[in-house]
Amino acid sequence: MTPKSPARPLRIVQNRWAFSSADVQNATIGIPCGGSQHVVRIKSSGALDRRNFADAYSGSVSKRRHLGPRLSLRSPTILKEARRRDRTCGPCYSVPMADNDTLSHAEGITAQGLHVQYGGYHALTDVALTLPRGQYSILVGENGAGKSTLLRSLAGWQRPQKGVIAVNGLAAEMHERDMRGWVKLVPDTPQFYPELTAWEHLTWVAEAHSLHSWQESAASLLHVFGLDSNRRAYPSSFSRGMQYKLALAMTLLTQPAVILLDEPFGPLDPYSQEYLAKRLREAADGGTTVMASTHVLPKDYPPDRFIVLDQGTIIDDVVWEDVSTRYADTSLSTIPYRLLKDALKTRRGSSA
Amino acid sequence: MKSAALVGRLRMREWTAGARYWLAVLGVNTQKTDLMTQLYIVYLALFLGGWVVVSWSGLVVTAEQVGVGRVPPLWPILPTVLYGMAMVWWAAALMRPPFLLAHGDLEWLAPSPVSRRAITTAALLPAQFKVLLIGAIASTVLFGLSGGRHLYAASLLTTTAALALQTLSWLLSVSRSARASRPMRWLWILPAVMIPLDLLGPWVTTPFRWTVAPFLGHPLGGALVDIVAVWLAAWLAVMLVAGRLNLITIQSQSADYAEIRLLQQGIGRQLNRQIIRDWRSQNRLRRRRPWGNVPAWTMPLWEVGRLGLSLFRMPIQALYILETAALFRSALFAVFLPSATAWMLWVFLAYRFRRNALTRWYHRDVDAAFLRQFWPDSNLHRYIHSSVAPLVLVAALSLVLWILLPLAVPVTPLHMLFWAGLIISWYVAESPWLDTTHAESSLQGHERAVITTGLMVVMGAVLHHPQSALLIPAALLLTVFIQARRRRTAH
Repeated sequence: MTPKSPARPLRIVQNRWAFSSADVQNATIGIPCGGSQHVVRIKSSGALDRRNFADAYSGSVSKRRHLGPRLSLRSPTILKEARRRDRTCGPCYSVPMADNDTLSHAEGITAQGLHVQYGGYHALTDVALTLPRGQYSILVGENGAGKSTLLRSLAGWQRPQKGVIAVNGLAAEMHERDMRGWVKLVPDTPQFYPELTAWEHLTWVAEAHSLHSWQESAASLLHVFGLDSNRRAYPSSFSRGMQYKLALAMTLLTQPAVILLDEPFGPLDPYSQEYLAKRLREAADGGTTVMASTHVLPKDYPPDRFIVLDQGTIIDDVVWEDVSTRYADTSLSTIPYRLLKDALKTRRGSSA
Repeated sequence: MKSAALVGRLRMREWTAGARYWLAVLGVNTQKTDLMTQLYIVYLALFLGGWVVVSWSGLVVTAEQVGVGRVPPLWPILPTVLYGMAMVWWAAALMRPPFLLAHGDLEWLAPSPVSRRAITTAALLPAQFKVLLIGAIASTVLFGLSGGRHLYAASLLTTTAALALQTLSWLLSVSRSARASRPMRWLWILPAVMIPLDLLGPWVTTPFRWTVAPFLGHPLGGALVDIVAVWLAAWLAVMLVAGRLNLITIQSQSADYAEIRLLQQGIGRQLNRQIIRDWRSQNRLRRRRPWGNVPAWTMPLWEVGRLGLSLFRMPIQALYILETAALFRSALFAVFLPSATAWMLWVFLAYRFRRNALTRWYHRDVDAAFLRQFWPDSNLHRYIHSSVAPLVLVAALSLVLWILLPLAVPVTPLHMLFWAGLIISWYVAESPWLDTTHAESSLQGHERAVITTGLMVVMGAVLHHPQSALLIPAALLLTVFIQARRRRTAH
């Protein structure tokens, strides 16, 4: 998706960009970069005056050979301030502002030209994807289609050989620490500290994310996932489903801006599946970007979008309205299978 | 500070869990907190502490006694050694991330907004402690061997210099991983090519002469202050750069390490090194494009083609073959030395380093039940087919090494007979036919091979009659023959 034209005037002086202090209040600025544009949103607050913003946002646009066009931002002041505020009220310098159409592409998470290769095996090939803020997407694909690799790359757990990932309009590689505060991934087999109990894991995560009054939420999450009587047990003694529930509880507790889940419904019992689907739907409605790879879906709480991956390439990308029309007589739980089957049939012919 | 406290608490829990594990191994009931249990823990701590101190001082005194008049003073070459060590250290630091993350850290610490400085400090401190211990022991023993002059002053300076060098290596590694994009790959060449620079003149190693200041008549205090200043400056620089550390780089490269740590938790803390080496080797292979193809030859030759391709694709296997060949060559050296005790060192080396170099392919074919079904021949045939090619290769290589290496063991029929017996013993002892019916009580192939060939070397060396040692391969072959007949009758 190509960003719209800059909403504010922009001067480029000797490969550096600058703007007048009058434009920095609630401004959206498009920065030309390698034929496309990066969009940077700036939200002022009482803590930062205009001069600070102008000083803070000076940067240069650079082209890297392997990573494609990238924006190099040097903004210690604003990031420091944003981190401070992140700790108290979440990632508030990425909240939407006046012009929603212009901002929608900068919200959430964007990937361009992702390429991941393990030896001779191509896990992802030129994957381009935009997950806007507040969208609940389902990633569908066969075994080895590249779903886990895509999720790990988006979460910054793995560096793709090529391509760029941006979270809330910021290049993930350049701002990986900020990104980690916003994006959370639950892998298909989550691992834990062997020395810490379930509750100690929650405590640790809450403290690492500077959460306040988190105990009630944590207890509530443990309760709905049926783990409250095992809060003082080591996760290594849990079944796989219980471990996944604990990982989900830890993730949901931090209220991240982007939640990525690898096979979340598979290990869960039907009740927990339904609760999780409801919780994810609510999170998305509340502005959280959600992406889950799965082969099964609970009956209620439909997602907004389905993305079908095959051999490292996106072969189908459809919104819920189209899916519900196409499969009007089909239960939601079988839609991932039907969608994948039809997409593969189209791609591979009748042999699929 | 909050991040440091969080990470510190985490590491303390890990350390405490490790300590509880070892206390349980030593017989402490870690569930109890009564007085007797606590007294026992204090007793263990005092005993172990005293044992370390006594062993260390004994080692140093022995080194002094051995070194007096026999070993030339080592301090003149110390700056050069430290220079070489620093360059190797720094080259290694520029090849890899400063630290790797285990599972748990990968999933919960790295994706959290915890300060990178805190994570780096928590990794650097244990690394510095290890260097402190190793540096203190090694330097005191080395200076002890040199006669014991300025023993403690020189050891203090050398250990502090080692700490400073390590911190500088961390600075390089952290700087390399602080880039937003993929870390540069070839930077390690720079320190590596600087190693020969010390041939240009003593000026290259001048900074490293601080460590031998007492021998040159300079005061200890001045040299110590200089080295400590460098060390602290390096620490400061590491902390400054660590704030910009890119954890995507660390996470991307931590997957293998995390899996190995997980295996260690599952199997026990003393994981077989061979498993780790195999794991790393397989992961390295997975990251590469496959080279070549197995030639479409008929069966006996196909095994040769497979071996060749395996060695080509996994050079570490070729190293195991070469190591085994060198082992047989060194056995000849040990048995024909005037000193009959050399066999002890040989047996230790044989046990420590080589595992299943000849039978690796057999185990891969047979141990995996899924693969085994595609090999319809018997275990005996599979063993012979898959191990003859490496056996021939090892024999040929050890013969080449025997002829090429200038060690005083002539190529005579007697020596050739002993050499052939040694290889046959090893090969047969590794074979699966020597398994008893109670598999859980039987020795592993590697241990059997070390014991039987060790016996051959001992008999040859101690009795000074290598011919009598040939009884061992003869007995082994007879055993195998009897067992094979029994099995055939049973079937």
